[in-house]
Amino acid sequence: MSDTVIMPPPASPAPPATDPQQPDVAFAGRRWPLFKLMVKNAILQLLTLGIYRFWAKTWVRRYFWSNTRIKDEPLEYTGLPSELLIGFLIVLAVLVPLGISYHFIELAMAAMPFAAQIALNVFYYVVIIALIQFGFYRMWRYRMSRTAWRGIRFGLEGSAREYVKKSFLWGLLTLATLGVAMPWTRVALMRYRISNTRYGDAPFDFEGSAKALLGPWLVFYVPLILYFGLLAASGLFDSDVMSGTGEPQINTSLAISASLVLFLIFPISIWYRVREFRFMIDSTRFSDVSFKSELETLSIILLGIGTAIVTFFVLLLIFSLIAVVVGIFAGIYHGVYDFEATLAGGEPAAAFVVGVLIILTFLMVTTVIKTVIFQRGIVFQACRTASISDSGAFNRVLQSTAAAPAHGEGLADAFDVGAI
Amino acid sequence: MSWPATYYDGKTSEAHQVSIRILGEQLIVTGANGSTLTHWPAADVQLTDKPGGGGPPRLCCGHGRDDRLILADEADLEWIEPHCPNLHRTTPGWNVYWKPVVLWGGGAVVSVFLLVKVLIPVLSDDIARAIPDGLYHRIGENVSAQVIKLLQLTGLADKTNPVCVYGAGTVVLDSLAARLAQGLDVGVPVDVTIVNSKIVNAMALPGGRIFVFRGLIDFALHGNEVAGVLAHEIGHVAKRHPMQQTVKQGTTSLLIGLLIGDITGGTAIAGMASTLINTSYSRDAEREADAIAVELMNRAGFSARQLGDFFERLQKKQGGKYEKSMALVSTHPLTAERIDAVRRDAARDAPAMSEEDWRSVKQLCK
Repeated sequence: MSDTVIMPPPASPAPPATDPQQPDVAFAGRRWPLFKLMVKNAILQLLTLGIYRFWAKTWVRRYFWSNTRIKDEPLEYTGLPSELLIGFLIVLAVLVPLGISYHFIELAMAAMPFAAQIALNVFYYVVIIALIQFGFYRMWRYRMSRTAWRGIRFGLEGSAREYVKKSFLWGLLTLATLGVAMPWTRVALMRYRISNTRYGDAPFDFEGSAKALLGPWLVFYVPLILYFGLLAASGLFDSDVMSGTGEPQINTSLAISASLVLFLIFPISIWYRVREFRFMIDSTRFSDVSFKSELETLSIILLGIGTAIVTFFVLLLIFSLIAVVVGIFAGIYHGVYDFEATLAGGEPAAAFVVGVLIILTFLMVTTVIKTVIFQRGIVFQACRTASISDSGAFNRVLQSTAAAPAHGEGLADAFDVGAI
Repeated sequence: MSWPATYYDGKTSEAHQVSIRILGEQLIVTGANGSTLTHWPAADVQLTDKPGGGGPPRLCCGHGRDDRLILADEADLEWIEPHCPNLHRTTPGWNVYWKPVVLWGGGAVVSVFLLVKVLIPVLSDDIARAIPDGLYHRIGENVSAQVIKLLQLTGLADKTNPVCVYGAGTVVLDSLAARLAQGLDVGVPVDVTIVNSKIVNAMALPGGRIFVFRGLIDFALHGNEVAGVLAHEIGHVAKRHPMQQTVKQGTTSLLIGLLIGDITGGTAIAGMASTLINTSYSRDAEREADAIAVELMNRAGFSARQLGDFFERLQKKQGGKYEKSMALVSTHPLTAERIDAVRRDAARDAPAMSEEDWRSVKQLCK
């Protein structure tokens, strides 16, 4: 090619100045492209026996990141499928032998004394929980290092081992206090994570006290106390009932309302999670910038109900279609094929294949709908209700020179944690 | 002479209003004061937000660089496109990452291979032998309940009556099995269950349970054929072959679950189900069970020659249209050598059951 300068088109408009009416954070992703992407991913994952999941995850993350606009500039996901693949292969080469060795120990365990079995079981769960927490931290580190905004990368400092240690010590305290210390546990881990997060070379800070979460957390105890209170009132705990002597005099309507009270836990847990999320966002600082979230519990509950309804009707439609098709084929099969062969056992094999297909269809359909409606909806709501105090601090950040992990998420993948 | 754009230089978070132009093989970025901020090789220019995105097009230069260009208008892509052949690439080529993939992939293959071929077979054998009798029996009860449920669910056994518990035939087979197992150190009580299924099969489960499928009784022409098959399965039980198989499958499905990842739920269940039913023992395990079967038949004074006949008839059916229903063939590999060995070692002549008993066995599940 010759060294000619390409002529520009006439009168290109200058890039528009930032609109003061623009929301601080917005999610611009539409459902249809995500739906197409998820269906393609599901089919390719099925055809490749799951190996395509590293590519699938990367494309889905690109969708979510690039559609999230902060101060009218999108986030960018720079991770590559090959990095996830390598992370997975490392875990396969190292972790699988460990897992299988344990399986053998477990089988041999039956011959051991009871105390040794208990000790081994406890040890096993401690190791698994530690690995999961370790995997979580490494996963966040990888994701942060692959997230960029205005050409500047995010990062997560701190050590995964320190995080595991913290989560164990706080976990023990939570157990010892029958769960009352839970808000402090959550906040301690939150604080470690957020104060170790940086944008470019500038760190985030966390300024929040667990006292703010204690109230919402204690609400969980209300249905539990009501439950046992109602049961006691119904006469279930009376000494003659407990010992099995005498005619039981149980107030049935009270006992039934006791179990209904337990259903309250479901909306309360969503409400608590929303409160916790808002608390986390509100407590985060970046230099002199503060953040605010006004996410509403009702919007999340409605999303959940909507997702359930859509899933139900889509599954109903798909399975009735399958039933019709199978019915037609079965008719042809019986009419044309050697009936004797069917009788001798061709039929059970077909039934088995159909069973497997039904399970796979169910899993694929629910995953697609959950991502397209529920997860996208949560991200959309979280962005819509978020605001950032106006500040120039984001304009003065320098790129960090800290090294980023070369591959990612093998452990998190092995334990199937992290939604997207 | 050029197009307006926004440039993030990858060193600071500040936005620069720039103009860009293409000169030869380079994309040149010029700042507001007229100085050249950077130049990108046109071949390395890529769109960052494929797939998804929306908004004005964003460009990067290869994968390793942090600086980004945001075009003012989607229409500007039209003049960039002809000069940038890799504009729509989504990932770097294989040349960037083949080394770690080959290295760790090789490590993973070696590790999985060693597990499947060396560690699992050796350890499953030792563990199966180490399990105490009481526990072995309890495991067996669990497994047999699961297998019956599975056979029912998959339609391999009758939905309403998966097992046949009534009829004189059940008593005949139970006492026959007890007599055959007499004097053999099985460690657990042998228990015969007749499965209401068309399939020609018999299998030994961990813990001394033996499943005989109705299809096998229908296929048998002589009482000693059924007795021989029972003796053969008792041989598997005594040698704890089913337990070895269970251990092997547990570990293998664990491995497969990890390999397949997300969509495991369904496939793992399916895999488990099919292996449980269609487990094939090794040639050595079959020879061991055959030898014990003939020895038990001889000791009880029964003729084991009919077992050879039975195997021969089964073998002839192999590969035919009945292949699928001949599960016994696929779970118990048959060879001419095995048939000859059974006939050679069979030393006694008595029938294993009276004509009347044989009729009652034939009437099972009817």
